[in-house]
Amino acid sequence: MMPAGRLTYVMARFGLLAMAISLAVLCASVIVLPTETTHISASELPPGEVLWDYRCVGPNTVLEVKIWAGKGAHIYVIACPEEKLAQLWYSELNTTTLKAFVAQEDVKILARTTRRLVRAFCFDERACVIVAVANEGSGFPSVSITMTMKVRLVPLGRGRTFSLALGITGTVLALPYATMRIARRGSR
Amino acid sequence: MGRRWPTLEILAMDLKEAYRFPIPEILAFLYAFFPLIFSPVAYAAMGLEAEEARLLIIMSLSSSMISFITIILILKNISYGLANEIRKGLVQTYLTYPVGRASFFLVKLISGVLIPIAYIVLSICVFTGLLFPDLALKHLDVFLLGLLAFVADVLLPASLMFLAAIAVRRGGASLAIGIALLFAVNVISSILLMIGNITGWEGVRHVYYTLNPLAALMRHYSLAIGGTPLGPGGGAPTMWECVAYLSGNYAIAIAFYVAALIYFLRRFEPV
Repeated sequence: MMPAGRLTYVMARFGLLAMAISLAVLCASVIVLPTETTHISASELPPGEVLWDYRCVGPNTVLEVKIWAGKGAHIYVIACPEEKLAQLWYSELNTTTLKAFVAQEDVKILARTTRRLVRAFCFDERACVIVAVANEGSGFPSVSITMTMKVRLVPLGRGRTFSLALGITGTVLALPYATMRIARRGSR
Repeated sequence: MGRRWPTLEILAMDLKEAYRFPIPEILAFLYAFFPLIFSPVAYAAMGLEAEEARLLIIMSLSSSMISFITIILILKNISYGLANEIRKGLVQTYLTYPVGRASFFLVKLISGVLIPIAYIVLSICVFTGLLFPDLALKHLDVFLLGLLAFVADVLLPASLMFLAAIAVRRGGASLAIGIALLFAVNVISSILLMIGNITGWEGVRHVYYTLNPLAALMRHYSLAIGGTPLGPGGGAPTMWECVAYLSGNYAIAIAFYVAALIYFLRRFEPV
């Protein structure tokens, strides 16, 4: 084998190694393992009161939320820094304090709706997610909140970027040898 | 090319034999994928220890099983592969090339020991770099020191296997001796740990940490925040002591490789 041919062969082998690692990371990034499920409910939520729960999440976490609420109930999914959570512990949460909490600068509303919410949330950084159902009407609606925490083996964004970069590098490295092989077969 | 760099030619032949397509690719996939299974445990470790200790714990999560698989790979390459090559006369064929014995020794060292070790480095770098890049960059010195300590964990037993393979020259016997040496190193470490823990003797502590530089590093960072992991007695080693233990470990491993090289150059007669 000529030196140039050998060089392209070595490059191709390194390219295949890069592709193998890229594939491994990609496979890992799509694997999601359920860790824990919590369920809270109230048959009658009095006017002005709030039913809530929270989970601390990280970049590899997927939080699946399923909420059913009766007429007059408003559903909030809020993300805030972990330090903020203490505010909710020390003050009794009702519709007024919830609105004041949500109005703060570093508190982010991820979803706000009424009656029903079924959604999975992914995160880029560590945060606390508060799921709250506030009775802003005058009736007594029933409320059910189910939260399922799932852990992704690799954070989705980082995993896909890494995998894509490595996959492209591998392809570029392997391409000259593949072209040579195809050309050699064509000439036979 | 063959005439100009015969050593490279032999290396190419050896690599082609030991790492046929798609074995290295499958190994790369497994070495990258397998540690990622432990990522939920790594995330659970966040917030438990000091940052440096956390980084070392994360690195150890990725490498514990991988090191064992690498040792098996080295056993197959060196204890079985090299010894069998000697017995079957393949080494004599290789030595008909215009290469010195030292060059041939280097080729075997690269293909048998250094490439499997490169897989460990790859695995740890992918795992830590992918999941905790900020932590690894923030404590780059600890990351590099930890990486060297993980490599040392494999390099020392591999040096013993290398020496045994050249001295014994028979595949089966060399494999058995390699496994026995591996167990012996672990048993000696455990005995030293127990004796050190019970008596607190300084000498035993130094020998134990020289054999396990990673344990010294873990101890150094764990005790810094008040943790008390199982150790061979005494206080936590200082950073310089950790570096000295690591250097000592590498010096011992290099001494074994040099002994194997000297034996191979002067006393070795192919079967």
